[in-house]
Amino acid sequence: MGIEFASYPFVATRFAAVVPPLTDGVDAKRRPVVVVGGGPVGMVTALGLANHGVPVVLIEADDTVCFGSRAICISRRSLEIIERLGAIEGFKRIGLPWTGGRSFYRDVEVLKFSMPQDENQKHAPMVNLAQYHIEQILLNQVETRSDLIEVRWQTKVTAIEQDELGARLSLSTPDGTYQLDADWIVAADGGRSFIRESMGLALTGTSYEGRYVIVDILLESARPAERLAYFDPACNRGSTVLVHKQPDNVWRIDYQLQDGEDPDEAVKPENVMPRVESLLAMMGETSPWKPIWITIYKANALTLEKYRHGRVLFAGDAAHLVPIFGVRGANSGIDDADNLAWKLAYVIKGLAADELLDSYSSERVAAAHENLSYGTKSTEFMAPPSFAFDLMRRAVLSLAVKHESVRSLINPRQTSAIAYTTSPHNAARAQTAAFGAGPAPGAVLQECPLTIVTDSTAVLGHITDLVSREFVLFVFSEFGVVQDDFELLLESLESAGVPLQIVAISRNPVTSGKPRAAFDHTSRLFPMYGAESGTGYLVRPDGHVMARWKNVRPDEVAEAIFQALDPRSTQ
Amino acid sequence: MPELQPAELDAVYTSLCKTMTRVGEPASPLFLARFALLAMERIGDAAVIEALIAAAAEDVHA
Repeated sequence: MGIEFASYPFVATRFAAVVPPLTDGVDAKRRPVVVVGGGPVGMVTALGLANHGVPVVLIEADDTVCFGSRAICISRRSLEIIERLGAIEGFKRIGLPWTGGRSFYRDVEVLKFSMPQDENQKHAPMVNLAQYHIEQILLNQVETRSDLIEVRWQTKVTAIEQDELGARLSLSTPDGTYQLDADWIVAADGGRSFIRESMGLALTGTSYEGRYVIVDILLESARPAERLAYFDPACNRGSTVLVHKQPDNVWRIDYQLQDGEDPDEAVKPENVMPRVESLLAMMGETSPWKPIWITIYKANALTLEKYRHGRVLFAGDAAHLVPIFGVRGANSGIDDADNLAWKLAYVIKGLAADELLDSYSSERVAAAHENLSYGTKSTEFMAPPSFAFDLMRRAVLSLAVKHESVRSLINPRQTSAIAYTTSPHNAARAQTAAFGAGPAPGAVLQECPLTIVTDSTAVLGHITDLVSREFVLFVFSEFGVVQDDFELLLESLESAGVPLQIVAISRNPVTSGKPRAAFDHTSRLFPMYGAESGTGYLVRPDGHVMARWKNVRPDEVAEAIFQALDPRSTQ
Repeated sequence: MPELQPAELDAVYTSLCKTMTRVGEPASPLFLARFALLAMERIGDAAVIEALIAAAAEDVHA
């Protein structure tokens, strides 16, 4: 008897290939930047560049957004980034927010974890939605930026050549081949990156042998969204099973294959169906269900050593492969794109020297190593790489029932925002020691509600709403007054073409802000940031703190910014 | 006695797993026995050790 599959409850639009006007087989127009790869990372990069007014050509090999079982968890940090790109609405409308999860050993709950969530937060710690949703929402936003972003579907890169000033891509489409010249190339072409391979670059790190079967199913259930992990469950003894809810009655089930199981046999529907059936019975899910998609997964913890190679910048899976446990794949790629977009835009617009792109590499390689170290720990627990990890896991799980002290070892180490603690842009290091609270240089802003006053209009918002395309300086004071010498700083920076915004943060209500002020109406922001009257925080366009001072001085702010934009000017 | 922070527990747990992997499966019971003996000596409190032995044995065949 045949097994009936359901389709994903999603219909993708298909797009035709387009060949631009050519001169001798080459696109008649040279571009400042071409992004290769129309996945989440490529689209976030393109949207980020467009936000800075930079025109982008986005190359995608396929004729539609992706399908199949791919990323499903989007973190709070990613939502902050997506909001700055104007695409948050779809994520809030479709995504299922969740805050924690439970782990079971056999039939006993051994861990209940929650991700940081309190009244200060703007976004849920995590939302679940399918990657086709993620890509469709981003694509809708890309289409509203058609003034700056041109998407070329069904276009494959077949060769890349670069020199000191740029690169030439050879492209193939069903309607013919051509070449395209650009000053910069962003390679966001995924885990099997053609660009990475054709440049002879290799990912290094660890590949794990343990395999998981990944199954998406269609099932009606009122069960809430959370991360469920079952270790050695009655339905699948000796295995580990993960369950995640997605929108539209789609459920993601991952289960571990045991030693000696043949992966080719394991993914056959007739072998998958009974395992899913017995899992659902154990969970008490009785509605009829159908499989949608079955695939097999093997964890990798790999990265390039550098993400900048001359005029080519690698991002997302093209640059690093992180294990799925901890949901750091798509989220780390979105963070790459956010770090890269403002730096590349500043370089293209002549606001910064191209050395700024070296810190894209050093900051994001360091972030990848941090993600890989967490991802490796999670993988060693979820897919034990040797008898010893397996034996110790049995010890942890069996003791966890009665001994709370070992439960932290079961925690899935979910993705969280990474601090660039060793960034070359972190400034005024001596001053940061005076703070007892607040984000240190390199860290992202800690979320807090604020009343934001623009001219004479006040709206309730959050501190992350104040992140801008420009550097932002928060100046804390009792009454929202910024000293005159800061006005002079702004004027002198403006005449040098350096983008800076000052926001006065006031302990007391303010009625007008030029251009912007904010009132700490909860009285939580000042203590959270260790701020007093005169304190300053300098924030980058990607929301990372660059420097902070108990008593901020205009010349020190200017120095920190010039150092980042053109290290040669201050050395 | 000083308490292990979760990150420290995580690190020493991984170190134990890696060392046991290197020692190999046949020698692992002896390795764990030697570790237990050294830990007993360092704990230095017979009553605590007796309680830990009982806790480790509980449900071990479950």
